[in-house]
Amino acid sequence: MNESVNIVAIVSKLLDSEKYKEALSIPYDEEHIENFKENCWEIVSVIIKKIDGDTLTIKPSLYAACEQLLSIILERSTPEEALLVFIEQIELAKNDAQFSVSLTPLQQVLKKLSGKRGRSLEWCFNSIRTYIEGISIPDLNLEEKECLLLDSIPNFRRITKIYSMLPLFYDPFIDEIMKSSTDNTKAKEIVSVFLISLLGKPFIYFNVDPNLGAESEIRENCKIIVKDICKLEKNVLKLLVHVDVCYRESQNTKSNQKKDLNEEDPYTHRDKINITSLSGFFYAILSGHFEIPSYSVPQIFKKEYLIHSVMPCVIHLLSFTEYGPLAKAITLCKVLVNFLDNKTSDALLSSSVHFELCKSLVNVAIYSNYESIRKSAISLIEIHVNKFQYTGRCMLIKYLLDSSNHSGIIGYSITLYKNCVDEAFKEEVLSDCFTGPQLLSMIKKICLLPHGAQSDLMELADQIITALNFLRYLTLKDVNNLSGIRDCFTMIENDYLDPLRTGLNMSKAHYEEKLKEIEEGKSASEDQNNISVTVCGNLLDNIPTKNKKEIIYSALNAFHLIEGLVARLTECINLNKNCT
Amino acid sequence: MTVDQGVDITKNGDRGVLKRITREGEGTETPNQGCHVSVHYVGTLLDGTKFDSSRDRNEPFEFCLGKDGVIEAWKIGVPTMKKGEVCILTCAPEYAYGASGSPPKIPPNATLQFEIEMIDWRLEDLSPTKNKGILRHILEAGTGLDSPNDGALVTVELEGRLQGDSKIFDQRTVTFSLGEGTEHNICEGIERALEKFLKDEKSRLIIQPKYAFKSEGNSELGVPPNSVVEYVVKLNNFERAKDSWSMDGNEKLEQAKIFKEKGTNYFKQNKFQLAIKTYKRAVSFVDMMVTRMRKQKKLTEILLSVHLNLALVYLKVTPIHHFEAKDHATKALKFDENKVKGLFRRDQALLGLGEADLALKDFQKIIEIEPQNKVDFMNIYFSQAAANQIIVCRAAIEKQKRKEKQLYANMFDKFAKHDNEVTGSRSLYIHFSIACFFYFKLADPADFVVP
Repeated sequence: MNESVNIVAIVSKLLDSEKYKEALSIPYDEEHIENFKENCWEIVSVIIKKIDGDTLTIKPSLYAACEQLLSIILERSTPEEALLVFIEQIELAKNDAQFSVSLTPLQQVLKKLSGKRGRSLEWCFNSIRTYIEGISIPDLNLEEKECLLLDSIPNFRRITKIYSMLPLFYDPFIDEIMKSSTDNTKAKEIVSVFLISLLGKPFIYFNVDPNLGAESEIRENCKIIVKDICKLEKNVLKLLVHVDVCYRESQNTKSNQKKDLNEEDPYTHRDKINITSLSGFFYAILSGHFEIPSYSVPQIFKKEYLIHSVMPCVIHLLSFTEYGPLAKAITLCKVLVNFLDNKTSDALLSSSVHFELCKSLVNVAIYSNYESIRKSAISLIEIHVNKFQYTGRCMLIKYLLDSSNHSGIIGYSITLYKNCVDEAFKEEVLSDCFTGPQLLSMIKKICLLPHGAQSDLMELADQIITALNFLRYLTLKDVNNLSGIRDCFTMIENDYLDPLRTGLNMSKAHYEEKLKEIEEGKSASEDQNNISVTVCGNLLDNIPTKNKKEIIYSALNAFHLIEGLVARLTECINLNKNCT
Repeated sequence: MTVDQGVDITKNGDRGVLKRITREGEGTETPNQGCHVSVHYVGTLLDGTKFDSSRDRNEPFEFCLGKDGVIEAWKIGVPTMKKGEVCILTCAPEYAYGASGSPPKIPPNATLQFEIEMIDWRLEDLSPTKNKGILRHILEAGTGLDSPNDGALVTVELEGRLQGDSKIFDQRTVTFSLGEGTEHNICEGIERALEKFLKDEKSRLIIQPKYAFKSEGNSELGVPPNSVVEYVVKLNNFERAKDSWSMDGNEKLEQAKIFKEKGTNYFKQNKFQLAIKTYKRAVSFVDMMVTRMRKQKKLTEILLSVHLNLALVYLKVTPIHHFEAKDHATKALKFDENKVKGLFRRDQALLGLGEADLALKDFQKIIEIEPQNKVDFMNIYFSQAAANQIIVCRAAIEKQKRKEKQLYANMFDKFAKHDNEVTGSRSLYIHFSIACFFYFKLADPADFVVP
């Protein structure tokens, strides 16, 4: 009895004192054989614990000895037991070296268990995923070319390294599946589901864009993974049907019912196949950033079907705040939007994804931390809107006007509308949607002062300036009253320009007063400055007088500009009226 | 081979999709909307460049007709193919990828040619769990966009036979409310399928026993137990039942009342399953309803009586559904906790569930309430019945206790025996205390009177 307690200690001691030969001879030692076999699982965990992150470089011989010992143990044990032991080791691994050293024996065990592979393979993949998910991903605020730096961030490096080990691990199983003549759909699905899950988190945070000048390291590994998925699944668009289901499930997280969960179908395992992993996957397939075997994307599906099926992925990726997913969303979105023909029928808009896309893009355009992303989002809004026929464009623009409460975006939407009108005027017959009541309702939306003359003109400046520009354009262009603009003049005059003039006078007076206050009584204003503003717990400094003045001047400037535009518009309206 | 060869199969006759059969298929049947089709295909441009082929993937291409968005030409062409048929479809760009093409493989304005081999198809599965319980083969497509809903009044022509048998066992035109088909010897499978029918649609349905006449069969129609049936059903007309969300409060109350009465009628005719269905429908109208005080009374009345009735029906069906009965009685009691009927039914259910203790409490409550309601003969009846039931309960509890006591007593003996063998005063002590604990807990003090 006593000896058996010791054998673990003996091996441990020998390894510690660098007597590797002796350690390796123990399993072959006649007196220890039985003992060794009985305690091999304890020995496994002792051996693996010996390995640190730098063992391979500092003590290569220790590493080699450990590897060898593990393989000896493997030979002498039943595979079923060994499987569980090594799965445990993967999950408990304290560093990547331990993970790596456990991976090889695990693969050997799986190879031995060829008959009943399905479930055990799944367990192994699950534990690998658990290990990967344990590595945290910091948000580094890097954008565009700066992303190349990700390769040198420790945790990103670790994941890159693990991803590079994986193909070696699963390759033999893919080979086996491809060669086998019997039906092994289940095994095939298990492997491909795992591979797809690798393209979810943390993959989406990585930079894999080949157009940045240099290729990131992880890209190489992902290329292999993507290729392997194609090899297994053959027709990758089969997976489109899952997007819709996953997206809807992700939308109502409240009612987290797992009703139709089918244990037998790997595609229903939401820890692996979820909207995030599918988004990463379809980004890889459709973005053009990866080489996809030509056979794996059938040319049978309608493009509308593709767009509607994959768009939820874009919308999902746009809901992140990190650069990685956002950049992927933008790339994928560009591809999808370009699938649309010019002058696409607005019947397509019966699918709500187009509106949801607009909403997400607007959101990103306003709130994203990254300038390049904001700009791309804005330009995508324009490209997307302009892909439709005029009626469709009007629907989308109306949606933009109604759903956003940001003066800049509203101003931008008005410009989009103006451009549409301009384009429509070049055609022989002016489209219905720019005339009569439809025009009137649009103008009402455009010329909106939410609180009449008391609206905050400073905040609304963008919207007001573009609105005035648009009206000026239309009054000058449409001298023959094709659009029926002339019938709107009274409305514009009474409901918009009048309150606007009053508002301008009030605002100007108010700001000029403020300016005087600042210039005259600095001390007086300091007394009033007992308000402080905190953002995220940081106290914001009071605005220095110089900047205060700048703000007021810029506001006054804007008011003057608006005043000028109002005057010009009145002139144009009069001109137009006399044009008969 | 010239481009123009083949028969124009477009509706408009614009020669946008031309079909040329190179190998005839077998039989006369073709797949229709909803079928899962599996084909092999090779797609080429007019200059002979192959742009896509399922043969390169070495697996047939599968898709669902009408659901997955295949290009227009396929939508028109594939449903015309028989099993085993090979044909060549020549598709004009308007029926394929249009003016913009599908870069990089398909150039703008490309006419495409597909050689398609129809391998097989699976019929559309309408069963809720997709276990092939109800298969539909559309013979004549319907019109419009609307389908009947639960409760809709439908008129159908049907013709039923056993699978693989040419003898027709059922042929008639019948009008009924969807959901109450069993009244008219119409099985669940047909009803479920009808919810997916369009007007004037004629389809063949293959229904597994689970959704047809189950293990009982139907003696009236001459359907033996466990038989798969095949129906040809045509939906001649239907009138949709109003969905509850589109009704206002009064309508909902009205509908609930109607269904409650229907349910009571079925109950009187001993059609318990139908009664349950209609009662539940009644509940569904008003369950989530929030109303102002004025209607509240009416609402409670209906819910109270429907739940009471449901509890009763569940007690009457074979096998008795005690659990559901208890549930509904409890729901009813929420509206009126002193409702004797409700208490009584819950007790019966509880007794059936083996919860004699709880049942006893409720029966005693009935006796308590009874004196206040002396005038009400019904309640007197209940209270007398309750008194009887209390005796039953007591007996049941007594029996249960005796059983347990016996059990623990045995345990006691066993421990003692064990301890005698293994001499160890400590373990004896522990076992003794465990056994005593149970014994005293259950035993009457009378047991301890020394004779």
